[in-house]
Amino acid sequence: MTENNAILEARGLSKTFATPTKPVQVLDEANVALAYGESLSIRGESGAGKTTLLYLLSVLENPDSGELFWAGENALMKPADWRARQRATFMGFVFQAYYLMPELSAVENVLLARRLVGKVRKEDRLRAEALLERVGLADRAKQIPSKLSGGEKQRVAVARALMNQPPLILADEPTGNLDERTGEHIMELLLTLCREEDMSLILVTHNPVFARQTDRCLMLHNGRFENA
Amino acid sequence: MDSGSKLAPKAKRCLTANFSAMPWYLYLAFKQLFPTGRAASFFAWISIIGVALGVAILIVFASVMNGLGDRIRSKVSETFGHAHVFTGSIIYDYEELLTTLRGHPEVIAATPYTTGMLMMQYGNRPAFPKIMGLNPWEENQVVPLEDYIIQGGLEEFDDQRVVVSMGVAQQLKVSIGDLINLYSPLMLEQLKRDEVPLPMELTVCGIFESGFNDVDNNTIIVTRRTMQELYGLEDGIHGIMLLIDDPDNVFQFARGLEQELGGNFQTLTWMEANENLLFLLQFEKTIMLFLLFVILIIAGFCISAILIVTALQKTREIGLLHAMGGRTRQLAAIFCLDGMLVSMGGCVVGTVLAFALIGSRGALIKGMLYATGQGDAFTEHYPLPITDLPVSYEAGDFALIFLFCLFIGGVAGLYPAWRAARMKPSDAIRAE
Repeated sequence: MTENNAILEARGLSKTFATPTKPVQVLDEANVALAYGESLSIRGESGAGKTTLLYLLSVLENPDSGELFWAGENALMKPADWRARQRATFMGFVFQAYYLMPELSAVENVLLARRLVGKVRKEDRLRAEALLERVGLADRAKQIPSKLSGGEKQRVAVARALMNQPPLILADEPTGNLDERTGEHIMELLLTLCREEDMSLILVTHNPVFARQTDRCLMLHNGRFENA
Repeated sequence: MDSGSKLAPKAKRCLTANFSAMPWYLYLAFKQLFPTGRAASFFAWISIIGVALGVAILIVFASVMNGLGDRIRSKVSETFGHAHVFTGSIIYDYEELLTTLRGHPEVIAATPYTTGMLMMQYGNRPAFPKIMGLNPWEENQVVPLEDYIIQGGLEEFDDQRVVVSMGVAQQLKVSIGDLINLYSPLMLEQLKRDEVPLPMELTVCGIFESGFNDVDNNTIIVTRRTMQELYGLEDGIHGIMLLIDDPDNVFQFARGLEQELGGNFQTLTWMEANENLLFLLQFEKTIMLFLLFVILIIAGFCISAILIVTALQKTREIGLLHAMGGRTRQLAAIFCLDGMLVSMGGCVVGTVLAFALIGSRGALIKGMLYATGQGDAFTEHYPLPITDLPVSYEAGDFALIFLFCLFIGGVAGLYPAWRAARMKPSDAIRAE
């Protein structure tokens, strides 16, 4: 078990990818800890391993070595079904390319997060609608993703990530596909909602302005963290 | 508010409630086929139509084969009776036996008969038909001979007259009122004794057609007394034909009757007597159904191909579902369920289509015959009106077709499901 105030803690995470020419070490004994309600941004050059780190922290990718604790539980020692269940309830994802289900409307996409946990109740519908209203999409709730702009899609994705009220949000370049102004709105929205709902946030971003808005910022360089 | 508008919100609530309780992978499989804002996806339309055509063809074929089979079986049992009681030799003093059989609780009708083969001649044209001795004017008739008469009639039928089948009439070119000569095997005995046998001369009073080719091709009917005279049976008969009230249990009835009667009495059911024909009918249907099932297998390959493409297109969504907490087997289930849902849709549409085709079979056959110019040949060889192509529905056929269809749909989804399941979540999310 780890310290009680860490919602997520990684110790000595390493990852090496095999390439046709030579193995590339993306993470080298990386350590990271995140307190409850804390926001942390991770910056780094393209290919520095920021996204890989996010996937390792959520065990969408297995590390070569190291330890990982989710709310004190050693996630790497748990069965895959347990991790899948935790991903549905313990963490919410926001991706750069939104990844909305094209066959579902905005509100159905938000509710999908709840469906993966269990039966959808009336209060879940109300929460999904409230979240869409909160992100400014109350009148677009029944639109399918192809009818939404990039900014609107990302707002739906933010609402979806928050749907199950997970204590941890993992955001991978959430503004990467958006223009500057829309990106600022999305970031403001994400940070505000995380604070309102008392969620921890790990934000992977290139943008130093957005990074400064989080409680703490780390630079990923040559597979290791440096304080930014 | 009328009842329809009252029902609409209720139906909507039911649908919503069902979606709410649905496992998410079934929900996504359903949505993949019927996305929000559209009636159905292109994939769903194409696949459902493919399966529906296969199902419709199978149902139409099975129903028509059943109908034809039932008609043939009904004609066979009609012309043969449900069972024959005989000893293998001539039965004399059969009155007591006849009374016993007519008093049997399961017997509807019992008719004594004599049967055999003989030579028949009209002019210089010979034939060797099967001959039956029946008295159609007596009560308790098993064979509805009067219903089969297509020329002449039974009003004047007596010991000097004969009724011939359509096939015999065509073969010998006889018509009503013609005189024919009959030579029985008994005449061979007379020849052996150096006697000069004289043929029996009878007048054709009727021509019949039962609809069962075996009987219609080569049968003549005389009175029982004429037959007894031809075969030297005195007052003996060859057996008694029976109609029973529960033909489905004819085997049990026959075996029970044999025990009740005892002695040398044997009972032959219409199914045993026509075993080869009935086997061929069933065999033909089974083989044709088996071949037609290939259509569904082809539809299964189409579903599989489309699902593989869908799985490729949805690579990033599969990665997302992993990230959202979806388990590997649940992700795989989406594609298997997609295949099964398409199959279910195809079964429903195919069944409706099959009933529509069967309902308009008369017009369809007419159109087909007109297009191929085979109308006259069909009318000549098919004895019933075109619109009277018989059909019969069997629950077992429907169950077999539906189950096979669902199986094919599920199997079609296996490979795409396996592909989706083996995707590494991080690679799936990164996929371009």
